[in-house]
Amino acid sequence: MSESSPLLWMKGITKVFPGVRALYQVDFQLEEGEVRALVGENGAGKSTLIKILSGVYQPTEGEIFLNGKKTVIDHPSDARKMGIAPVHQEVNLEPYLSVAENIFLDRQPTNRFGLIDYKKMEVDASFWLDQMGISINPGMPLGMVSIAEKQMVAIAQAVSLDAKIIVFDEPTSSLTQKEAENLFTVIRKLREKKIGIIYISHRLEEIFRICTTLTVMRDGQVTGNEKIENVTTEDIIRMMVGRELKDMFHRKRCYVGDPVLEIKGLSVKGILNDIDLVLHKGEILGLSGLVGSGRTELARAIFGDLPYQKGEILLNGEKINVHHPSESIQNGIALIPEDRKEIGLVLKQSVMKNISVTVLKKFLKFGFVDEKKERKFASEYIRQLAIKTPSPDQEAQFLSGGNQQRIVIAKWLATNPKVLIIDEPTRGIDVGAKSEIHELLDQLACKGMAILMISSELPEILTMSDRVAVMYQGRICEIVYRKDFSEEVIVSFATGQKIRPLQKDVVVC
Amino acid sequence: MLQTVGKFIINYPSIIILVFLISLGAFISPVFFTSRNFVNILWSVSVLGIIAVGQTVLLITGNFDMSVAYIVGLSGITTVMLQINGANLITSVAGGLAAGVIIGFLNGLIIIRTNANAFLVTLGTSALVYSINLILTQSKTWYAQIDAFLILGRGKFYGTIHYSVIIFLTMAIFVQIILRRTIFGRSLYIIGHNPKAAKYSGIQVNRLKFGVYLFCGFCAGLAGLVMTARTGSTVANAGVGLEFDSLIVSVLGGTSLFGGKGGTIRTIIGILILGVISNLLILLNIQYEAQQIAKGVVFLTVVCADGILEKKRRSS
Amino acid sequence: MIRKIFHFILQQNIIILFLSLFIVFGIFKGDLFLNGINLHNIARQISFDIPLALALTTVLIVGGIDLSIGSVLSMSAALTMGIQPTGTYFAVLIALLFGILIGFLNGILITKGKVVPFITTLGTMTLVKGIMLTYTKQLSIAGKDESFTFWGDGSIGVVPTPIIVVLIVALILYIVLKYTKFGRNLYAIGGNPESAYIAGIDVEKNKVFAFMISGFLAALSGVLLASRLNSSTTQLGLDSTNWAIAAAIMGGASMAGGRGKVFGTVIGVASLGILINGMNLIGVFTYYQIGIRALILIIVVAVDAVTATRIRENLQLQAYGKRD
Repeated sequence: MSESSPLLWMKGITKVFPGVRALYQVDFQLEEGEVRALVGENGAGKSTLIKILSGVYQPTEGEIFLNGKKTVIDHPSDARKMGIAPVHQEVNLEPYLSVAENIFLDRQPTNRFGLIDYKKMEVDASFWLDQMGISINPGMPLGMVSIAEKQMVAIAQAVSLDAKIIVFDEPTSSLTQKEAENLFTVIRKLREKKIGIIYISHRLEEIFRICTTLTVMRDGQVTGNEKIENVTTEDIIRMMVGRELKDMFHRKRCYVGDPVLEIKGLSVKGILNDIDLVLHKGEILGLSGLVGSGRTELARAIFGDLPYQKGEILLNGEKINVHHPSESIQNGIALIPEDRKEIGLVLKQSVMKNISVTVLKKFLKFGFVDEKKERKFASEYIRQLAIKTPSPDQEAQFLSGGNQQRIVIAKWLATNPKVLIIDEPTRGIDVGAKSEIHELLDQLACKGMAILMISSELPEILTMSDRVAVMYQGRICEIVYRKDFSEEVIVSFATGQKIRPLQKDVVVC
Repeated sequence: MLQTVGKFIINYPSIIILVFLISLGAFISPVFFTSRNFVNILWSVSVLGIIAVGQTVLLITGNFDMSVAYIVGLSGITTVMLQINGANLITSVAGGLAAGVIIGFLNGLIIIRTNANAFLVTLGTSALVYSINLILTQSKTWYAQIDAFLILGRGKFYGTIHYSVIIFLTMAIFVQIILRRTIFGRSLYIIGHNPKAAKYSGIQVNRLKFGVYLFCGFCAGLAGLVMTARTGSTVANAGVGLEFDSLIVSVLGGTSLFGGKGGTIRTIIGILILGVISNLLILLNIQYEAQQIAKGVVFLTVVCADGILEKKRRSS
Repeated sequence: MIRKIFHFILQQNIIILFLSLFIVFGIFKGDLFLNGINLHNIARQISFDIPLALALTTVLIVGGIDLSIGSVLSMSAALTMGIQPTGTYFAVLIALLFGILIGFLNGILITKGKVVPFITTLGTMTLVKGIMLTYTKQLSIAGKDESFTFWGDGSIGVVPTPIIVVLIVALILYIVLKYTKFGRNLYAIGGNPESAYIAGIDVEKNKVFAFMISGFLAALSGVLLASRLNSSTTQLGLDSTNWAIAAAIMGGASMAGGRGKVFGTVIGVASLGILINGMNLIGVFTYYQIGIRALILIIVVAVDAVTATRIRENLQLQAYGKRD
């Protein structure tokens, strides 16, 4: 072990999943007391890299050195023993155990008989929660605290581990400004203690505030390692997307027509509150907001998957009443869900069966499905949407993310929808495939389809939308028009810092 | 030609086991390889076969029915009791079938309404049906009154094959066609693979699931009639053990317990494997208790193979 | 409000049910129900069901289920009686080891064979039953050592011995589940396996242990029953599994995993024991009792499923930043 060896050196890491090369020859270093930002678009390989560091995945190739010593991290418990503490997302906590037990899972303080000392555990937990600047009863079941508090509990868990390396993965995504400030104070303290920190975030202004260095990833490779003072926002974005911003996909402006879908006073108890929204022919309406603000639930309610208590939905001026997705399909409403693998597709069925499932009635002959017709139909869509598959009989699970998304789009285009709701259209899709999906959406809007696009990615929202509806805590708190588009405006509404009284929803385009 | 055979074997790997067992049987016992013995094997498995058709369809949707065994008893009892009380053939048979469908209705209703674990619910209804059987029979044996009814179990088509075998095979083939070639059938596979995706594709998941429970109840009811017609009498626990056997033969045939994979033609193969094994054990004079152990071992082996294969498929 | 519901659900009100059953039978059949001999009988009767229900509680906590406990019970009873001539307590040891072995087999098949617990334990249930029928040749085995009946049939003072034994076992299990890392890890595994895994818990190993505990407790029940009857029959444990599932879920365990309480389960068994006793006192016919038991199981399972869905929805509501 030499003096100059870094705290962490991940050398030449390659990770191959069936059909996908997630990481290729990645080099990553971290020094003591360094706060290194790790940025990149979704699917750039950040999470895979972190999962390898925390022992969840094994690298296909490459080595990891801790303090210059070669190390193999076989299991998350190994990572923990070596002082690597990833902050888990709040879904990775125990809902029925107390806050304190979540912080000290599998390392609860014990008394001299080796039995768990609940009092001491709660006192210790309070200490760490105080550090985070939140006051919740550590004895409360975790399921009962808010999502932001859960996030803080997850952070407390990692911080309390006495680790040498702490990984923050989008820690502020569900935090308010004040809570985020507390977190930054904690990170500064950790830095003084010579702890190495990896900080993943999409919010560049945060990175400029608290990080000292920066690593940018794109398509599973590192595209830049810089000191934070040497880069500008433009530099980072260029390294992330691999081209100038002006090269990114830009929509052709289109004519926006009559209202197609009108939502009036839609409420779902505890989730959606008095939603008013109008979607026009040929329009892409962006729906922005934090995770948990109710975006996906709004989509589900329109699609008939979530019963609503108040309000009405009008399609082409006529009131419709949908209780099940099958009725939405008849009404010409389509939903492309965020979770493509679990909800959008049946991974183990063929591409053909996935495409044709919504329109099987078309191929009926004496009550039986005519597979010849079905195949012809599916092949046509495979060609139109340029789905790369060896044959229509290939199982959907073997296709790349971008091609899987195209299957889902094909499946819904087949129903000839008037309204297309698309949730996170490009999550987990390569950069190249991304702009192709964007182009496709643009074409559909130009052909007169009304599109409601939910997205967490601000660049996507800003480039694609004609208008943006921003949601906060189950309400639509603002409709932003194209002329006012900026990241700051949308973020400030989405985080509840700015709340304006609702304006009447008029189109200026 | 060779290619077709090869493809068939890849699609139905359990056929190899069947061929092996038959050759083994021919080798061990001279009695085994006779048409008379084969007719007997088919006859002995036809009751189980009819149940397994329903169970297989349920398994395809990722569901189970553990109450089929006592439904067999209930439908037989209902029919016999109706006959004793003077009902004619049609009414008594319809009554027996209705009893099966009603229990299927109950299972389906509870499961789709509460989203409870199918296994436990049907375990519960199973005990409930058993108590009904006990109450109805008072633990006595009851005899069928209409001779024509017995044809269902004992009669042969022009003296060759039993009617019950024909019923079983026809049902298996007919259901297979429905599974593969209709929207209904195709939807069942999607539900088995991924009920959420099915709902998001506009499939009325609960409605179809409910229908399949009704069908499974119907199959068990029919099996109960066949069984009663074969023995001419019935008791409270007439079908005991058939729930387990119907799972075994479905899985032996290649229907996955994880849902979304399988078919009733496969189940015919599974049934034949079990039938041949039982037949061989009888020919070899092996006791009932040991058969029980053999069944347990075969079941565990097959489901583990299914589980491990499933995991491999998922990770690759 | 949401918190209150959540609390209510977590703090299972099984005790209320227990007390109300007690009061109802106390009022209507007071003379028969509330006399010393009857209460003594109830205590003895439930002491054979408690280990089974605790076995299920343990596996339900890790998100599993064990259908093989009934068969294990009858086989361990057979072993206790069958090996008794070689040595009374040697036989007990073998019987308990057999239970642990089957639990181990279940655990290995579930974690390595990737089969869902239902199916695996259904298979081992049949297997063990086959072994039992082969071992006993479908006959009852009578005990040879009269002194051994103390454990199941004897009393210490006015208290039946078996209830003391099982309460001590229950206390140990309570301490293990509540006050050891192993116990807490079981809850973590059942509550959220993913979270348990990334917290560094060896999910598979702990699951195997949980099933071994289950096997042990089922065998213990068999040993005590054998001692009580001073014989073993092939009919033992036939419908005990359903009963134990109902008691465990009534006591606060859930098919959804991650929950379950030793104390709740004991009260659950006691409530069901009182119910059966009460039905006997009122003179409900056995056949109807089987049906009532079945209905209880169905209702308990259905309520558990609906509750689990409601909790999930409430957790979702929490996610929308409602801080009441």
